[in-house]
Amino acid sequence: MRFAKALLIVAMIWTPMMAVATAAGNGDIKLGYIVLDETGNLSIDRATFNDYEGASLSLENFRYDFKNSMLLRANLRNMTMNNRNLTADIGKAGLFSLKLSHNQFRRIYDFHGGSTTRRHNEGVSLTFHPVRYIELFGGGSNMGRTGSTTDLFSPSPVGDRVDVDYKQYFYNGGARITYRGMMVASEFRGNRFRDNLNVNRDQDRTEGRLTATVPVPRYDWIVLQGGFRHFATKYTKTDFTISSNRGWGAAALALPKNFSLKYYVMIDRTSSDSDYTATDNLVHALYAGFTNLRYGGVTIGYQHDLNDQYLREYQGNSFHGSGWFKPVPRAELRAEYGNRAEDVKEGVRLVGNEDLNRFRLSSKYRYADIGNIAVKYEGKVRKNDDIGSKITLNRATIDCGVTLKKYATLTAGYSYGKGDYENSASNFKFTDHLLYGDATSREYRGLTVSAGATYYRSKRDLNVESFNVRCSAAFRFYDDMRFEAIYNVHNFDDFLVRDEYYTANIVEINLIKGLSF
Amino acid sequence: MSKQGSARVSRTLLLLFLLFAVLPLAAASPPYSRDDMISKSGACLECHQDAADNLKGSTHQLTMVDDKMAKVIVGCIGCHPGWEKHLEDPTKENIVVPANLTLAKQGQICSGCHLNDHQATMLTTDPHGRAQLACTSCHTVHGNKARSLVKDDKDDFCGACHTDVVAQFKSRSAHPLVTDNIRCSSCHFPDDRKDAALARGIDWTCQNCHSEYSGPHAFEHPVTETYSFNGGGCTECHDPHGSPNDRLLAQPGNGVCLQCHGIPPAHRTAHSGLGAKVACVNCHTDIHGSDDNGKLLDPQLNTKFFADCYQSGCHDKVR
Repeated sequence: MRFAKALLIVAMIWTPMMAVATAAGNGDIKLGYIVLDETGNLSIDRATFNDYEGASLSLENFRYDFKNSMLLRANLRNMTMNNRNLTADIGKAGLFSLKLSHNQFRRIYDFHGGSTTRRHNEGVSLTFHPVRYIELFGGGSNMGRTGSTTDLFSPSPVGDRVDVDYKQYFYNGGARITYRGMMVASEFRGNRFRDNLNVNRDQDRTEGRLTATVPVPRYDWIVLQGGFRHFATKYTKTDFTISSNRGWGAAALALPKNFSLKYYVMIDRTSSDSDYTATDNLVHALYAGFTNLRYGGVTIGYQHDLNDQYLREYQGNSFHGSGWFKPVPRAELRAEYGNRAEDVKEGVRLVGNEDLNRFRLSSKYRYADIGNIAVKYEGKVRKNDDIGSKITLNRATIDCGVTLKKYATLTAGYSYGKGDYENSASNFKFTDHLLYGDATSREYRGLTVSAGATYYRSKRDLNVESFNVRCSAAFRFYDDMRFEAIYNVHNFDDFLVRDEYYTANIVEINLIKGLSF
Repeated sequence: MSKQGSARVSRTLLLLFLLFAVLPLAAASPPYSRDDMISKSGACLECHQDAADNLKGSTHQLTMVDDKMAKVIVGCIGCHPGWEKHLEDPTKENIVVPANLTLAKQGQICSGCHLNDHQATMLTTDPHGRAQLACTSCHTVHGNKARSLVKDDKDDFCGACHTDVVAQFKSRSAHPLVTDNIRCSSCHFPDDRKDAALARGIDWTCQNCHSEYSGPHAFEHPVTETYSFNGGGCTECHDPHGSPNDRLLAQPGNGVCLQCHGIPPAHRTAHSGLGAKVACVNCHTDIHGSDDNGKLLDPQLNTKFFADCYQSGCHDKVR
């Protein structure tokens, strides 16, 4: 496996280097060093889980246009580090594309960082057009995770460690035929999960799907779609299998005067080796819309669905309404409301009947050539009288971006979130405040500076505070060389839990050589 | 499955059959020939050389100007219907600019070349399409060299509109979006018409990375396999975008369990008042599914810290 990884890295480096030797392109080669100074509990600030100290080498935003219209792109970040994140693709529109990727992520679970897991993911995907209207595609990925986690709810003061060591292989292949608005596609997907510590968890998943889209001849304002999918998951140790068959169809009608009508239907039967776990799902949905491109649009819809298994049957009825309005061309107001009611028709289910409501309001205003400001408010209410629970979530955000062409680019935002969870025995309430802002100066005599901060505060039943202050300076010299220094401070405090504190000072120095040839 | 349910299934299958029966009838008009695309688009450049310039280096660069070895022929007339009239009378009213069209009409133009599950779904079931957003709401063609021609090729491209979701990713626990180990499209991709949130379906989205928690199990926690079209499954307990609690849990402690479960009376006394001192999952460890018992209890419970669970006779029948 190490050989395969090394081969992937060498291929990713070698390919662009060959391009450099033979023709033109652009990108940045970055040589850097990161200094990490951490104190406190290493397991509580997710933003620094994947940071490592040491020298790094990166090739960023590389792009090379071949004369025969082939295109090569690469983003090879931190090639020498354990948090490397590499992507590269090469292709020619209408002929082929090949994409490669690899990345690693570390998650820390205990105070001193002794309990960690590392996840790696390698992927490849390929498309090929033997003729213009046919595309063959396929690919695969290999993902693995090793290390140990800590049981979140362990009564032991130091927590119980749980070892992790598994791999997951994914592969797919298929064909797609497209011709002037018509498409027929089929695909096969497979997934193998292998747990090196517990073979009882090993499983294989397979999926086959066929989809089609076609405008009706001579009535191309009507588009029909449909498909079928078979999905199966098999527990390899016991051969226990769950499988699902699903068919669906849809029709979209672009009516005169910018009215539209959409309908879709889905049917799904999921069953296991044991007959009693068979579950049927059936959905009908209908949406009608109207658009006036200058002033706005509106959509209303209704969905009826049914979930039927041997223990019980419930039906859901959902209503949807949304619209947008432009009082002036630069301003936009949007609103959306959705309601869903689930009623148990036969038998019983643990959560009984349920009502869900959701709404969103947003507005956006764009200043001419300067920037924009957006305000958004979202609310969700989930209520269940049968078990005495009610969940209310509200979130409001203000986000603005300003570009002062002569001096700087500014972005800033504030988000307020409020959650209230109630049930028959207890409740949980929180209020989140998130404030963030960044400013980047325009380049002046080769010098660019930037500064920013993010502040997060969670209160009521929680008492958490965290912030990140960042600043950087970059100096350009010899036209294509750049020196960059970045300083980041991360801080986290949970004032209700002992040992939940963390501070990190991270300094990153980079020397960047711009490629242009 | 009741008889009533079977009848519904039969009716739906019949409807699907009728729907598919018309598919083979489809036949659309052929695209422009290579010669037409090149020669007739060439006339546009007499006035619109700037358009050719700003397409240079993008995937839509004009074949007759910059991309003579291209496999796909790109010309002005492919995207701008009405060009015949415009050539005779070159006014703005006589040429179609896709950005000024509704989704359905933009779809007719763009899908002439671009048609996979993403574009197909946009026309029918995708919530973006339902909200009257069109191709050009997210993509621009002229003067854009970004991947997939998205308007702003930043990692948080989706965040330009979904600011509330961006905020959630800055909560105490969140998926590693900031480090680019995952992207929005890792979970949200409109190739499956299963649920309203565009996710690939609970059987793929979460299992793609977290198979260790997925079934099938001999004893499932029913919530993990709600074959529902409206969420359910993992998201009943975890907030995938971000949460103020560890491990993306919607609530701390036993709150997640109490969303659906009451506290059995015996637990209130025998376990020192559940909720205050003992977490449900201390004993019900196999909360994602068990191969040992229907109560999802730790199979090793009797050898761990609660040695008397089985011996005392309270739980000897749950195995």
